[in-house]
Amino acid sequence: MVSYKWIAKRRNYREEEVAYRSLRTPNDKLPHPLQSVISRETNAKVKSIAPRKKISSAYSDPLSQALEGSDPLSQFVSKDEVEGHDIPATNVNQKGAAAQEWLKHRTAILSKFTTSEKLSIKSSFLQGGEKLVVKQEINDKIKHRLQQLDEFEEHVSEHKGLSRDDYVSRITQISQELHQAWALDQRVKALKIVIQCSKLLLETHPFAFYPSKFALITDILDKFGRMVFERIAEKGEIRLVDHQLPKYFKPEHVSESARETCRNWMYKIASVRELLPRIYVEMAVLESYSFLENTDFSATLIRLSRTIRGVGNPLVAAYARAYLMRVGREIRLEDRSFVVENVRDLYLSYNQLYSNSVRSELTIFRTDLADYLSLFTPAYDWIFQTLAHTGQHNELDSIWRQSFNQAEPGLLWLSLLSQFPSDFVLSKCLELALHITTTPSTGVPSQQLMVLMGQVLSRNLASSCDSNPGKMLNVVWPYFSRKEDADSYLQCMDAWMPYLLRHWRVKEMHRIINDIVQHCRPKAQAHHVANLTSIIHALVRTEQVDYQSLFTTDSLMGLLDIYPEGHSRAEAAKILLQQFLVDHDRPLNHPLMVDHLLSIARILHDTLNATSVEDEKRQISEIAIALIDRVDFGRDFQQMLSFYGDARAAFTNLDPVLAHLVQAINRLSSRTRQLIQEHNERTGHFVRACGAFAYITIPAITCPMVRFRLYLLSSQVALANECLGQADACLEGAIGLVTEFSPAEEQWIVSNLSNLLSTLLVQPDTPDQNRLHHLRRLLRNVRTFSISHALHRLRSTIYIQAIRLLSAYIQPDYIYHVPDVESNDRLYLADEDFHLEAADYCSQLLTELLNDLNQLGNENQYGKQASAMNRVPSQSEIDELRTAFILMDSDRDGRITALEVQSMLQQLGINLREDIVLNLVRQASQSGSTLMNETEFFQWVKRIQALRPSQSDNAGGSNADEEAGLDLVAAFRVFDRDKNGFITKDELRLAMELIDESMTEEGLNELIKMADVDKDGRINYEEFAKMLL
Amino acid sequence: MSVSLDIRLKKPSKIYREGESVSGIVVISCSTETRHEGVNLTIDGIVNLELSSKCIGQYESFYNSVKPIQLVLNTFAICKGSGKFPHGTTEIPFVFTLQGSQTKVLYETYHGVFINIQYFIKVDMKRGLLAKDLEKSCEFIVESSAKMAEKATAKPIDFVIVPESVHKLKSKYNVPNFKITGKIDSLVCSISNPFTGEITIESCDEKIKSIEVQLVRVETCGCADGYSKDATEIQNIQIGDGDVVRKIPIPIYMIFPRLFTCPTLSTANFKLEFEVNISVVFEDNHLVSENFPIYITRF
Repeated sequence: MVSYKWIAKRRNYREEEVAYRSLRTPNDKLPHPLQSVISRETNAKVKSIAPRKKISSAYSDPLSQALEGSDPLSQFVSKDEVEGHDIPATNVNQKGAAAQEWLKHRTAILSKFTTSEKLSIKSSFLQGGEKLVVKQEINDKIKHRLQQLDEFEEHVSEHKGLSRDDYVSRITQISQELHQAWALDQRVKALKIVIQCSKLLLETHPFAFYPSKFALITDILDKFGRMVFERIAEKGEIRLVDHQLPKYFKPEHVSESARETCRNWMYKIASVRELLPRIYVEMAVLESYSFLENTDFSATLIRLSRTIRGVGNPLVAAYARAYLMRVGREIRLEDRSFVVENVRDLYLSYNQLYSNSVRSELTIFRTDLADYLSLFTPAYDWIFQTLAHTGQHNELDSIWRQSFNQAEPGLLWLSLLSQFPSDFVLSKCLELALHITTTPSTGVPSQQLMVLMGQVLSRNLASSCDSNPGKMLNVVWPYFSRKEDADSYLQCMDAWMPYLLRHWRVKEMHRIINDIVQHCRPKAQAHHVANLTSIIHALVRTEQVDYQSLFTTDSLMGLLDIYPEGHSRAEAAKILLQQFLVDHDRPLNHPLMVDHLLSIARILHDTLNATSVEDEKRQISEIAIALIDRVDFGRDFQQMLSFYGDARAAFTNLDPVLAHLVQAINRLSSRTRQLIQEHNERTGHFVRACGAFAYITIPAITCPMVRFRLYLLSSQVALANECLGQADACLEGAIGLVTEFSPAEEQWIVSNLSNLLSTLLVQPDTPDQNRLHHLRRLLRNVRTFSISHALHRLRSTIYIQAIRLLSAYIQPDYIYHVPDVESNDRLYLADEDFHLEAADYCSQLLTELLNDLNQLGNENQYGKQASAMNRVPSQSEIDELRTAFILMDSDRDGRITALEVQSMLQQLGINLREDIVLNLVRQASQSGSTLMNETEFFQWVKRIQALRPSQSDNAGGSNADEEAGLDLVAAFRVFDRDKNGFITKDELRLAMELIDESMTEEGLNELIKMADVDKDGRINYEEFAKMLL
Repeated sequence: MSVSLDIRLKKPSKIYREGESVSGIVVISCSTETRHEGVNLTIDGIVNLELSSKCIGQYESFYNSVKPIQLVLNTFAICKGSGKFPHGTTEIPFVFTLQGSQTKVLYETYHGVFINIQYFIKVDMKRGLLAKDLEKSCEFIVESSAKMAEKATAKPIDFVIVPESVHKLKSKYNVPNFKITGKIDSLVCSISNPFTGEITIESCDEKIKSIEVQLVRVETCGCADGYSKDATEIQNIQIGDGDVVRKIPIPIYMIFPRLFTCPTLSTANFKLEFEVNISVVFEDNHLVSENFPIYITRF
């Protein structure tokens, strides 16, 4: 084959540029002559990944951007969050609002108050007909289970024992029964069902379930009230607007018959014997009274409130009052006096809670007083919330005052604190705190109250000045520090922290932290972690955090120290750092602070191990990177460098951080250069140190592509800083990595290799290496890489780029230079040898390129071989082939795998890499798989035979010769990559490289000369055979 | 061939006062053309008296039953003579003025155990010899009119119950120490207003189970020489449940049920009176109660 000579055109870049400019609009940037189109595309792609607004880093590394793209899952989450906030406030009207609030309250009650104890339900409406049978079955099951599980609860009779879920389903059943009765016009039955339901509320045991029971049964009552209301409205021909009476409604609009129905209901309910059902049912149908003329709702509600006084059990009474509040709130009524009356009545009967009868009941059921009292909270909360809703401050004030007159008012205060408007509560807190801390309490623990108060204060930090913080702190601090028990202490501190931080200065803040540390010595318990973490949250979430003092003293480190080792501490460290990075947007230059922050970040880093998930690593890396970016010692570059050294030592396991450090160090040297303009001795040393830093940091990173980029970048920076040695080393490193690339990233490889090539133009050759050493090595690696991954296009592209580079090398004055760096044009000024060598290399590349093209053309050359294959093989040949096949097919599955081919070749003394064999097999296998069956094998052999000259036809030779010939053919095929029946010099070189026997140009020439009998510059089969045999 | 009769009064509440005109329609629906010999409407007001079983032996010789007292009986034809009703529904309106016969006063409607005061409108359709006569009756309620009735005047009363004031039935029972005070807003009550008052448990050693208000009717039949007097419960309303809070007034509130109560009535032949019992039931089911005779008026 002919080799082509490349003659580079001489160019005058300056003139060309002028010519170009005249063609272009001045805004257009001149494209880099060596930059390919593809690389620009990839850049665009990288940019299109929208950077997430996170901890802002000073500049973004294009490598880390791929990592920063938020994963789809977290995107969904954040979307959900946004949507969650957008729930439109639908019901604006009073009733709707009240109902909404109740719904919230109800859900809270149902989830909070459950019981594992057995419940009983007494209802005559659950039995009858089929249901009796069903119930029997269930009871049997329960009986069975009871026998299995526990028998200690004798006081609950077995056939009544229902689990909570059973109970709920029973209630639903009753509710359905009610609907059915109503639908069948059995109003009396419906009423009876409702009465029976409300009777269930008389039974308070098991206590823990009572609030839930209340919620469930009031649901039924509500439903009943609704049905009555709607039915009367229907009868009275009132069109309901949105299930409510229209605004213009007056009782006169109702027909007499509807009113009569309503009156009938009223009389019927009034004659209900039992007190509680009567109250509940009346409250349920209260809304229907609006059909009657002269209904004074206010008076009715007050009467009901009074009537509840008759309920002896305080728990039952409290919930009845809560229901009254609810019903009253939903009625359109200006006069809210009943609310106040209701609360006053509540106060009157409050001491009932601590009466002897309650105490004796508690001892019977072995219930703790505190647990019992906690059951009241939902009811009281609701009552006081309704009161607060009326918004009359003078009323609230008097209610607040009166609470002090009660014995043991802790329970009231709990609800008052949480439900009254904050602006009201805040001014009262001091007095209350004084009261709480000085008087002992048996019912509600003072600590619970203090925690709640702390929460209220902390929630309303903005207006918390009303609470007279100075005095307040004097009151509460002694109380807290007196606490011995770490549990309650931490709970209190947790609640009060934001408030304390807001109103105390830095000095006290350290005292607080130290005090917390004191209480938790030596290590906090696992269940304290939540409190501690939220304290840490509070520490950094206040409005003006003095980070400087926080991160320069040891108290914070002490706080982190008392954390139990492991994940929770890392969590705390993460919170601290994240918040710090969000808040502290100034550059960080306080050495001690940097030191502390670094050690906190190290805590985070040290939790990482082999089991850490990728996302966790990513998060920590992000934090570390942001932290590194935030540190800035201004012009003290030496300190910067030592900080980067510390950081490298701290984050050895985090590749992104290391990558970032390399970037940062490069930035540092660039900045140095910017400042100094011309390096003196000291800065020269410094930038060399930077280069060395980068060079030794990069190998720690796993991903070869990242390493490549960093090497390239570092070499460029080093070049810019006139550190030729460092640049050379980095380039060397980068080029060595080419073979490790992932073949899937072809575009990336092309663009980055192009980048590398354009750097090579300015990088002068080193005297101790050959000329064009880097380029040669690079191309060799590229070839190896492209062959082993069958990336022919990649190779061609890079070759073309290389030719461009070589052409640029030949120019007398290069297109670009790095200031103060002597590129090859200066180095080899007027050195013709260099030009010749470059041109020669160009020609070589061109030849190879053309060969590749040729090979493409030859892919279709099988016509010739096909005709040879038409020859019918003799029986003996077939038998021979079959034996060969069976020999190769070592596992006897009728197929030959690449491995088997390889092992056969090995036996023949030919070592080939697995992927090459794979290629061979793939070529032979018609199905394109990596397996070869018998027929395919035969065809493959035939194809090889067809290539052989006619000598194989006169098959007079011995069998041994025949076999050797076959092997040789196979070997020949390995060398003859383009299957044209000749081995060229390039193919020979390639083959030698494949079997790891690199040869010099001269060696190759010699080898060919030796074998090439007919002197055509290539080796045919006979020559090959002769050479080897 | 079916015929049905129905009476529909104009007022859904069916409450009328003396002198008021009662209006309504008689609805006759028949599936085929129906012959009739006249349709009559009767207004019937009657007091039924009955002697209680515990007294019956004593008075058996004198009376088997007390003769009912006719308050009003008027019959008028709404369809004179014979005729035919066409197929379908025929509505015949009627109006009459409610008026007692001669000197008789129309007492208010009352449903009791031994005494019943009831008013009916009856429609009967006479038919030929071959077919059965049809009849339909409908009760309506009479209340006395404002002019004639008594007005309630407030007559409050305070009461105190202490162990000493209780009339012991069984001397064995160890009466616990207690003090219950209370007040009734008025012993003369309007029937349309609730019975109100309040009760306070000032102190009580024993646990309280329930506090109840009982409405009792006292029905007396007969005349001066022989009569039966029976007190029966109308309704019992619980006003306190469980061990109620001490020293807090608990409201007494009871609505007088319709039909079963009427203004207190006293005539030559019978008397209708009402009483209220307020009782406190202790944990051991013993109860103390206080009795208050009340006077009910219409207004």
